[in-house]
Amino acid sequence: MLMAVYCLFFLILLARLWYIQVLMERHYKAAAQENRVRLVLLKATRGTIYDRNGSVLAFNLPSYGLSFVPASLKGRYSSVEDFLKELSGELKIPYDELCRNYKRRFYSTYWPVLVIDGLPLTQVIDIREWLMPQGVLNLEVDTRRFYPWGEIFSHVIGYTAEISEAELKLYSGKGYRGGDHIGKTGLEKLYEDYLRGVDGYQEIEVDALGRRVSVIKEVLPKNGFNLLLNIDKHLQKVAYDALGDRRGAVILMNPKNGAVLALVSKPSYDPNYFVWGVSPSEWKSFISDPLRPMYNRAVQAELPPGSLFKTLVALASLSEKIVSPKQQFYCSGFMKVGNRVFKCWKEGGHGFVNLYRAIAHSCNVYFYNLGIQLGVRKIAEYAENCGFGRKTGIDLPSESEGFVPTPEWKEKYFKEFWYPGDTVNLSIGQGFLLVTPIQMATFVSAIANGGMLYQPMLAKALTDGDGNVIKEFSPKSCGKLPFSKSIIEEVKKGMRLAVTEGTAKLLSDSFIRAAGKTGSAQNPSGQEYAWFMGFAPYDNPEIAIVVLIEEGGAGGSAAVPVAKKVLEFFFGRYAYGSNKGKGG
Amino acid sequence: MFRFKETDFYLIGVILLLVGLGTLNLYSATIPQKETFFYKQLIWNIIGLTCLFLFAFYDYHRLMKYSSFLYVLFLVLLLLVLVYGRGTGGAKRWISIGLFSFQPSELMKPVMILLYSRLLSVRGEVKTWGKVFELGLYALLPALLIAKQPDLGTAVVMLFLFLVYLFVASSHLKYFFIVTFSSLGFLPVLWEFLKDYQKRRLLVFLDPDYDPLGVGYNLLQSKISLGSGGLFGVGFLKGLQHKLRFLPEHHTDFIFCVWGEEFGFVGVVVLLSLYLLLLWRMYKVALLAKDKEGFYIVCGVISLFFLHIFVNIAMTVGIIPVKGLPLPFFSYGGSATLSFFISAGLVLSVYRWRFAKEGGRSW
Ligand SMILES: [Zn+2]
Repeated sequence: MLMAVYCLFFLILLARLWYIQVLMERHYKAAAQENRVRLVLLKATRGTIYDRNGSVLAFNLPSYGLSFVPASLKGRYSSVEDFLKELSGELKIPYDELCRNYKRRFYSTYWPVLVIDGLPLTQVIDIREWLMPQGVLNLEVDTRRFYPWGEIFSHVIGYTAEISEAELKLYSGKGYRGGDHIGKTGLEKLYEDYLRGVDGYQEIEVDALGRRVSVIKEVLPKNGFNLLLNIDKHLQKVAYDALGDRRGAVILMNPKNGAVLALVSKPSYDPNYFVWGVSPSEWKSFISDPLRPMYNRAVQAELPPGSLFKTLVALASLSEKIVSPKQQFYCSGFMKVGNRVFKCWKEGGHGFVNLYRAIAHSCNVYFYNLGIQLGVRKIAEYAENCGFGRKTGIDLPSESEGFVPTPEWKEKYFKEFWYPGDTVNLSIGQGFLLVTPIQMATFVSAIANGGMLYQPMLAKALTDGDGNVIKEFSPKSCGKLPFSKSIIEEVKKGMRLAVTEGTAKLLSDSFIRAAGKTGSAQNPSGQEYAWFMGFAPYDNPEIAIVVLIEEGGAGGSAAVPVAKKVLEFFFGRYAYGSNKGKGG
Repeated sequence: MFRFKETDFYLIGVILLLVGLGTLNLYSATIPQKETFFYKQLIWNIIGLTCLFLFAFYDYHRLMKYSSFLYVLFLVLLLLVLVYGRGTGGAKRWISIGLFSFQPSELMKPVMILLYSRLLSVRGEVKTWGKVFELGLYALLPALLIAKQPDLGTAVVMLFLFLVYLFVASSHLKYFFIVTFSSLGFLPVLWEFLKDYQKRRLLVFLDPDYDPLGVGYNLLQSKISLGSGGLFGVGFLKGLQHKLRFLPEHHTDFIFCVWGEEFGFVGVVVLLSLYLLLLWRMYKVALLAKDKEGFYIVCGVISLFFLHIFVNIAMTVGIIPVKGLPLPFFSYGGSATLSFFISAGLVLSVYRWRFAKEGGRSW
């Protein structure tokens, strides 16, 4: 009887073992596989960013993190929380932060969780003393972006930071994982796919503590490509310094191919600050800063061009044969249109002015006359054909389009007719018209080169780790100015005269033969926007420049000195210096 | 003195086979540690075999006369363990005498069998409730002392032996059933006495995935070991679960998993058959026993082996909560090994003494 009962119990055991070993075999075999085979990421190294002369603008620093396999805590700590608490006390890292990282990056009890990251080397050495006897924590080596020039290049290069949950969703299928770093803005964002490379992995066999026993399979990572820029580090720095504490933008472009040699927006920010992660409150303070340091004025600012626009009106009028270059208009200091009076900026007027002098001295009355004869539709049509009202296509994210107004638009949004007075304002670049500094740069480059509109390009080429060129970003033409070369020549003469005797006269005592146009656009909320656009040398332009200073006052006195400093450096360095010839 | 036909070679053969397989299995289980478990166990097995033959040739009647003395002696030792004992993780189980240390609770098992056999054979069957309580008290005293160590598994063994003897040696089965069911009703009260980690074990038993890091981890890993063995196993020395240390306590409580992973369901059937053969052969001895003393002893030993085999494997496969009872001849451990060999030696002794006078008893 007793034996019968015992036999019955043995049968129960056998039935259960049959279930586990035979029926559930596949399930438990898979579980065993998950136990002992682990994927270890071999992270691809993000490509380095160089300027045109090979100076490093962004590279990778080693960054250290600590990970642990939750299952390995068994028998040493009663719970993960206990372990994190001890870790927090030991490393002086807030417990909440550890918990947050743990929750966000937890995958399974057998997979390492990166609970701390972004540790500098010095701290790692301290930690090792505590870490070694423990045997629970593993040291993880990763890289973090470092930008040696800090805020000087932040508006060009942008920065990388830890991928957000929204980005993980947006780029699902591209193989990103939580904790990865991704280009957030600037070139880092635009060229992300080239820079990041392809991660590799190792399939390794591990023991219960997550220690490596053997390598089963290995796929090596493909490192990201290096990015070579058209930007010149020294020129960028000079332009950055030349703006001083003022808000504004400076753009330097090669008029022959659209290569951007410098692109500065101020105020700026230190990109290194964001790489290591900022708290939501810190982020908010950056975003709500009234000076808007995160705002790239060179490509995002939409402003009236002011007198810079007179060059376009002049070109259009010559093209439409409304006026000949030598034909003179009389400026008495004001002009009546209907029953409104429009003033010239010079009290008492300019007297008789032809096209050259009108451009050089920026006579409003002269251009009122041309604008009225052209009409709003012609002006808008020419503006659009010259690249205004649409993106230039510069390789930066979040470029603005600017705006070219039409009578239809005004009727639709203001329920008002387009008055002749609106046309008068438009002819001197005021009113509804909005442009971006980068649009002005492509426009002035086109004037300089005789009519070709080039897409501005920051990137020059991609190279692999051995320095082989993978891809060259060749100049891209995006149309031509709708004017003949001879007409453009006439306007260039006027721009040269502006330097020798006109509003940009501060440039005349320089060794550079520059040409240009100043502008002072009305700003409803403060002092005028000071503009300057120009090119040099006058006979065979090698460089085009646009300077914008917010609330800078008159373009001639505020923006021209900045341009002068930058241009003199450029020609001092390249045309007459040791690096002769590299300006192209 | 030594007479060939008076020795149960069948039983000895099964035991030697089990010891051999158990030793090989332990060898595989302890490879990764490069520790001395395997060699220590070899020595224990040799000492155990010596004891087996010593007890086989010793007259169990003479031994039973000392049972009360031994019982009191081991109760005192259990008390001493609580005061001077040492162990791991807050539990006190070992007592040291010079270089030699052992667990009195393990050796208390054969002592209990001897005590009960003597009491029942001298005073006759259990016929009154007074007797039931008296016998119960004898088991409860060591059980409480052992539970205090705490070693709940071994404490349960004591109470189980009491129930077994109630079953085989009472005038009426009502005693057995009433005591069994009323102790089941007593369980909620017992729950209150459990320590936190013991409660957690029971809770995790109900849902192993509830705390995969803690107690559930053991159960999950033991099932993974067995399951990845499949029908035919992965082969001797090829089990990975214990080599990579996923399997906890693989040389003691979870030794069966190592066997199950390496030899699969087929190997498991073979091992269980061997154990059944062991019990069956002992049962034959019980039937042939010359006197009640011998019969009672063999019944106790059969039950002792059965309980260890069943509880150990049942815990491994997740039928009952995790409890640390060693698997006879397979698990590592000195005192437990000795206890099993001595118990088996008692059975052999009973076999020998039946030749003094023919006779048997059916039950
Ligand atoms: Zn005028």
